[in-house]
Amino acid sequence: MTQAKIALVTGGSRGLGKDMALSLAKRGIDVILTYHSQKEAAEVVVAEIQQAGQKAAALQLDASDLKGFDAFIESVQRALKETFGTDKIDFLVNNGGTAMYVPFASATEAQFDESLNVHFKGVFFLTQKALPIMADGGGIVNISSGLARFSHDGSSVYATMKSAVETLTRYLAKELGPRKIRANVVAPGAIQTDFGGGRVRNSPQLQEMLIGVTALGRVGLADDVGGVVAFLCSDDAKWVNGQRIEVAGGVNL
Amino acid sequence: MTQSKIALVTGGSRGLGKNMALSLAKKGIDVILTYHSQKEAADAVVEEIKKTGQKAAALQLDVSNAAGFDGFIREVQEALKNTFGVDKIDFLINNAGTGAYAPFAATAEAQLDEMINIHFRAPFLLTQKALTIMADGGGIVNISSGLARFSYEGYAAYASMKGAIDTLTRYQAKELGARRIRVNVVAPGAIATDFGGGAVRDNEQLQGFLASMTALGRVGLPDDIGGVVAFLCTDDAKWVNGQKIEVTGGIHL
Repeated sequence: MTQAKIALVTGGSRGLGKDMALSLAKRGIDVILTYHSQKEAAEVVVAEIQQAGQKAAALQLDASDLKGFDAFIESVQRALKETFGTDKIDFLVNNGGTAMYVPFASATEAQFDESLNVHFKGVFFLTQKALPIMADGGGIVNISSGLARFSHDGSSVYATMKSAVETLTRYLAKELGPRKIRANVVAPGAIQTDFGGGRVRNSPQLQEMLIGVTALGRVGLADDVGGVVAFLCSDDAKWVNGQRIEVAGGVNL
Repeated sequence: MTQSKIALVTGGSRGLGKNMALSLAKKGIDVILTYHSQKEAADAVVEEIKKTGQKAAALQLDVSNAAGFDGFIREVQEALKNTFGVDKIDFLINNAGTGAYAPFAATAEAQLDEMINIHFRAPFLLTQKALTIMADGGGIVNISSGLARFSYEGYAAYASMKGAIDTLTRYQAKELGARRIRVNVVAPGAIATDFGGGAVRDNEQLQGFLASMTALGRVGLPDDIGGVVAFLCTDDAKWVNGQKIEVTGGIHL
């Protein structure tokens, strides 16, 4: 049996990250997923992946705590050796993140820094530190948001961090090209998960507004996004590099 | 056995279109492909698809002759009935086209009209006429070009039409959403095919330049593109709508 490729998915215990992890496994890719606080949920995902016939492991990571990244990379290396019998990951999916809804006029420096750390500095430096344990010819998938293209009240902090990630993605594609590492960014629209306290899932009024501006006439589900991430980690996407794919059913076209 | 989905690929006898047809078949999708003049090449692709276990048929089509579209749609209907045993296609891939190289200052009206007819009027009008034989819930993939984003001397007419296709794609996504028809556009970069008289394939100096501008450090091959078109015709892309995916290895990032 050839060695399966391995993807590291941050924030893989629930919501979109969980669906990404399961979609990758469905394509024959082994998965290391991280969780922030929900260890049990993460272990359920690991068990589900193992039932699908792929290897999996769950590691704790606070994507906003840069000081912890060196130790985290060491824990990935241990997991690679112990669970996967290898020393490199092939794909890094920077999914972990939390919502931030606050008007521009009243956003505090602490809120700004919190979003900056988890959505931009964390992605920047975790990726940098992961480079030595990434195989040449692999890939990076960053997760942005439709909000980086269109604007909803209260998302100025979150969305500008996502825009920075989109620009970073092009630079990663450019600078990691010599190692044949592709970098792309997936921008989901509004999805019914527990993201932001279930903001979309729990508000019929918001859902109705979103449906009205979405070509395919419904709100996104967690299951809508993972297949695109998995595609980007497949041979079908071998010439897709530096791209942004919005996965929103055609919202605000 | 469930009925396979059916894709209509224009210009499927050679180059990128051939690779798209084969990639779709590999994903379990039946294919009707069109050819302009190379019937034997088209028949060879049909045979290759049949060997993979999918159904296939080849039909003649001159995309620059809009007067022939009604007759062509009738032929598609006959082929659907006779070869596929159904009356609808699920996917339409507007791939057919030829290159034209002329400096803006020296482009003749006839050259401009040719580009308009082949690269814009045909995808517009052929798609319009195909709507009646397209199944709800299907998809359209238009083919654009990296040249719609960056500019190489001599492609003013060709690239402008591709820019028009990019915009048309978003409008189609918007207006066909009610039928759950997704519409996306794939923009290949420079590919070594016989397109434009083999300009890229046969010119080592141009290849060296293009490779140096491309993050992944080589020129594109036909096989780089088909997998992305096929992905857009799968369930993995069910929430991807109104999107442009450039497939260039990361050129001019």
